[in-house]
Amino acid sequence: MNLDAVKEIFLAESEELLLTMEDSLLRLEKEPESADDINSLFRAVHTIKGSSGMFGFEQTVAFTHHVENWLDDLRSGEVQLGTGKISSLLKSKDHIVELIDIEARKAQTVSGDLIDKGQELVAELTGENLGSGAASSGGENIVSSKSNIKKFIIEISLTPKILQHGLDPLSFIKYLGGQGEIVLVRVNHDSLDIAQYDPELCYISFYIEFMGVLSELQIADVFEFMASESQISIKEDTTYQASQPNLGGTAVSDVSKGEAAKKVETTVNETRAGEVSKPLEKADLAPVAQEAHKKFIRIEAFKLDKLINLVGELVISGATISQQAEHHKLPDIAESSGSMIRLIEDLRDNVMSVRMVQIGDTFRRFERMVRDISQDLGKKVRMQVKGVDTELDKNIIENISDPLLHLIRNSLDHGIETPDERKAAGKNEEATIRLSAYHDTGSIVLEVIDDGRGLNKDKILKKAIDSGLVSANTQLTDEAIYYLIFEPGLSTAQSVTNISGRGVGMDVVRRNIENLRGRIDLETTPGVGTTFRIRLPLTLAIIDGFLVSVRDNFFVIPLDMVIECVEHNVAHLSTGGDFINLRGDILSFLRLDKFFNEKSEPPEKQSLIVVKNGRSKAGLVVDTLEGESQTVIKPLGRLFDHLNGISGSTIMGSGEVALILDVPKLIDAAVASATY
Amino acid sequence: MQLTNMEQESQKANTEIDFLKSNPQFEMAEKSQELSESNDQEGQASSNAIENAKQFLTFFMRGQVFGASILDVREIIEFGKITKVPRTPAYIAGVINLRGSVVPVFDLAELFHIGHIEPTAKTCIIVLDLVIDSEIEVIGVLVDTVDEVIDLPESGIELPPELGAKVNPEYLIGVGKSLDNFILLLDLQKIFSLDTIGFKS
Repeated sequence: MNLDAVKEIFLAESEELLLTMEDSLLRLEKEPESADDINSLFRAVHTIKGSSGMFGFEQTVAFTHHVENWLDDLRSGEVQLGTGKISSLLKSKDHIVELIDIEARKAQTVSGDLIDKGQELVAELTGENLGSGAASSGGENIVSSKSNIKKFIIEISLTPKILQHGLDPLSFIKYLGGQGEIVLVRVNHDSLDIAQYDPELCYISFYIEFMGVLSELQIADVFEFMASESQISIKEDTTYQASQPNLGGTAVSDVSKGEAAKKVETTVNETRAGEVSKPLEKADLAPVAQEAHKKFIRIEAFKLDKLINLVGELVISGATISQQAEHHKLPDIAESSGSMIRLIEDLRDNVMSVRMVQIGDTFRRFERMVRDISQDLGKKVRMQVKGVDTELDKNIIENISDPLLHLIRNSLDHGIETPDERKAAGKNEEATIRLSAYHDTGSIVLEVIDDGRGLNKDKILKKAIDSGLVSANTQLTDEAIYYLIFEPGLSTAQSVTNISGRGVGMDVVRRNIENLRGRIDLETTPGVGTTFRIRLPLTLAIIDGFLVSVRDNFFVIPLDMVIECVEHNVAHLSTGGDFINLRGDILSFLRLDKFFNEKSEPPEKQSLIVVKNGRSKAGLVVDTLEGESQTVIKPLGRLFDHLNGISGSTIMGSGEVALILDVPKLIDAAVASATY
Repeated sequence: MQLTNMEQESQKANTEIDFLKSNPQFEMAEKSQELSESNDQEGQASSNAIENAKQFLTFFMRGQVFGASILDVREIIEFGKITKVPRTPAYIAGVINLRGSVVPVFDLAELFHIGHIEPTAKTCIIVLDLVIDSEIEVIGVLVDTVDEVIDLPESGIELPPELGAKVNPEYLIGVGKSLDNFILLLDLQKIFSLDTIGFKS
């Protein structure tokens, strides 16, 4: 088996679990009583510990072990969840992320500093200062003070098949060694009959003498993953205990553990049965966690991309067949190809939906950020999310999370006032940031809404004039002023904070969104709040296009850029320059044939397409309008990367290639190359 | 060794035919099969005799014979509709649809400053598989006619002349002699790796 591949799964899984963990913590902050969240928190940590143990990520195991213990106490009500604890747990979560990053992803040794940091975190959590190797403290989990060292005799008889299950008994014993002192290990291989030897089976059993502050249950925990089939017995060596009387501890332990502790020889499974409220449904918990994943299959993204490409090609060849059937006048074939095309289109829609991912995970990631930043800034902010199950293309989700992050930071930093300011303005001290996602006429809309002070028109204008963005005597509408924030080099923050204010934010946001073929709008009311609205296409692979031709070449203009089409006589167009009077407005236009160096004479009649150009309009003169079509985008490859004005290509039903125009860049290029 | 190569080549042509049966490009695939079949016999005869022989596909551009290593050649297709890409240099003829992929097509005659390829019934596109900047690029080259696949022993390949060649010697791996013809053997890897061509980012 390829260990790297398994490790990838581990990394993906733990990332998911850590997200769940954060999620639960943030919910717990609001309702500390939620047993579901405490349980899911525990399960997440428990599973991470377990899988890290299998890979031998020692520090991850050691740290998660402490956290798990504490959470265990939390579940049983031994300890309480104060706000301080939530912060510690969030920090612990970050620490686990760091540990996994080092041990699993980079395969490096964890530095001493980090281990110390881990211990500090544990101390913060448990309220006790632990030396290395000491287990966490608390209630049922058996008394652990440093003086309370007990001696245990552990006998393990392994199932012969243990090696086939991919478990290495040695790693468990090594781990145990990290929790205390192993006095003696005796290996028994009586069951080995050389004549019958099968190298894939395990024939040995262990006798271990161990000294440490752990309880029997904690030791049982160590061996939990091999416990399902192996016989493990753990008993305290009472002779040792007697020589070191430790009354309180033993008493508590005996009482709390009830009869399980008194059994001299208990298999781990029996111990679990004896326990009532205690951790040890753990074995059942792991399956519960897996249950949730059962409905999903993890597949590599590139396989999906390949599938989508193939389906895209199928759509094209289907169209070719039906076109040929029509051309050769074969009604039978035309009919059957028609039904085939319907099936293909169904297939395409289904495959496309596979790529769709819910936005919820992305939203949730921001919750933590909002919490941390608002605390840093001394603001009270509540985040609300809506439409978490709205689905978007995975590529879009990946690329939208940065712009969203910028917008939220901006709202927190600039938009939302301090509690005092809010009180003075007669608002609720606690501000609200709302994130919502919904479908709207073939596109997805994401909104970031705050109820802060709104944009300050005068400040933006002043700043824009100061930085030379607009000249002082320009007359601008309010809306135009607000949109200036999307221009490069404009930041209205008085001082540069570590959150925003470096003036790189909003123009990058806009550019990123435009790269996804989306757009961003804003609405703001002074004193009431600001709404940023991002409109995105459902998918990156297909666009609604408007097909036009220039002589014998075809071009696709993205339909959402097209405002209207006007038929025009060439002769009437060319008076005084390339602009016309369109219902009273001046509309300048670009002759595509001329711009594309088409030498042949233009036809008598040409058409003018009015397209969006930023917030204004522009015209494109083409020969013929061919109509709307769904367009599967094919990249043109790096040869044409530098080509301005053409963003890709598509294959038409006839099998011919049509080029997709990138209207804003096309107009920019035309402006740049204009000569007067 | 040579033999199996040739067999593979003709098998490749066969599969192409299956693929293209329903396609106007069919005729051309047939032609390329003829090409490799006729060479199959020659190949059998010569391959044992000549060691280190290299195989080249020869073709004409503007009356001049050129050769391309068959290891770089993926297939030969009939000239169909090329979509011009506006505002690109003259040596980029445009893009074509090659079974669902969009492939750029070059007019090397323009790059070599020997005129340009005027499409006729015999015009073909040689499709190349080249590794450029550690990525595989599929590239079409427009040629007037495709001729044949020839074996050239190493002794039959000479260094490009420094003076008097129609084509910049930088673009050649050598000049092959075959009967009374000089074949300009193109260094396609080098040509398409030129910074001016723009495959490199």
